[in-house]
Amino acid sequence: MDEKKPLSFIEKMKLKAQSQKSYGIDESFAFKEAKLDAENCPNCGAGRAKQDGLTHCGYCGHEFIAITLTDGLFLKKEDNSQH
Amino acid sequence: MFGLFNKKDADNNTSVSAEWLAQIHENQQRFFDFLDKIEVRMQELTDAAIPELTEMRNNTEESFKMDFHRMKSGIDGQMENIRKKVYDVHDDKILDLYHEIKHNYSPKDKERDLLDTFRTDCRNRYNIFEEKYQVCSNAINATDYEDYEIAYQKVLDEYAAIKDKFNCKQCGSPISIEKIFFINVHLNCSACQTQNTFEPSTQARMVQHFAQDLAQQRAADLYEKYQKEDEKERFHYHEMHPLKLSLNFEKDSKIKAEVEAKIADLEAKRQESIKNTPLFRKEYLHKKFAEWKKIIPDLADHLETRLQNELANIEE
Repeated sequence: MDEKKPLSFIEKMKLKAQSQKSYGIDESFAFKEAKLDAENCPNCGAGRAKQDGLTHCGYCGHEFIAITLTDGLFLKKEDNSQH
Repeated sequence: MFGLFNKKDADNNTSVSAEWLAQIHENQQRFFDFLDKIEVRMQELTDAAIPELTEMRNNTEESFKMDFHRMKSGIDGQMENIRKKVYDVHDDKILDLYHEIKHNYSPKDKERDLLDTFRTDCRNRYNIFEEKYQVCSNAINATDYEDYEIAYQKVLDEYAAIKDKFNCKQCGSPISIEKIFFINVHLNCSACQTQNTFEPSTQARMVQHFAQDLAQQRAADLYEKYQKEDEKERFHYHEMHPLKLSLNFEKDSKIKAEVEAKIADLEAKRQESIKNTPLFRKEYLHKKFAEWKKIIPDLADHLETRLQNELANIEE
């Protein structure tokens, strides 16, 4: 009996540790696969091309992002739309 | 039991047959038995916990290992309870009794020695428990180890699998992922110039978080070398100290010269350690940052600034 006690205690603890839910994060949704997507202008439906920049739609001028981009790791100043 | 009015009698009693003698013997015996038992329990808990923890740490493929951490904090709590219990019992049954007897009987000579021995013996036994506790808790902590090479290898494998998998959402021509991205990035299609947004997997995003740990892991040999060199300074100093003290009353000039030569030798070693420590630290930092840059080349500029800052902070 004495020898078995700590074992079953550990097992109980393990079950509890595994069944307990964490706040704020659901692990089954937390891990996402890599994906590629493209978005069209919600205003006129035109595609977003490289030369038109990222901040405004090249066709109708719809504002995608309300900020002016500065140099970052991958985004550069040149990615601002010329309007 | 330890009434104040007995004080006089106790003072007169010169033999070692004081009435509290039985009490300290009993408490000491019980304390030792208690520790023997609790050490067995602690060992059982550790032995049972370690395989489970190791399994949980390595088991789940991709996760934050929250179940492991919950389990480990539970075990840590149990260990801490054991330690607290022993501390309390020692405080209550040994130290309190010691002070009570000392206050009530003011024992002298032989009796006082006996009482002090009682306290020292129990304290030594308590220290043995503490050592065993440290061994157990270190063994439990050692289960929380992650080999970041494995995590990094997974990212590399994933990259190899997905790099030519994607097509432009607009025109369908292939877009190859040119390197491991760890944040969202716009990739433009070479055929139709459409900006496609690439979202890296959670796993790949983690690279920037564990890159430093991985770099550290790769530079661990140099870190150890630096740490050892750093410890030498204090070590030689402590070796030197008793020698210096022994010189104070040394009259024999021959012995004096010998000891002084030894001290000079140790001082030279100590100075060498002081000189080498910052050099070894720099060596370690250079390797660590070189590895770090290799893992995330996109942040190379930023890392170079960090390296220069750290190097500038080292005093020579």
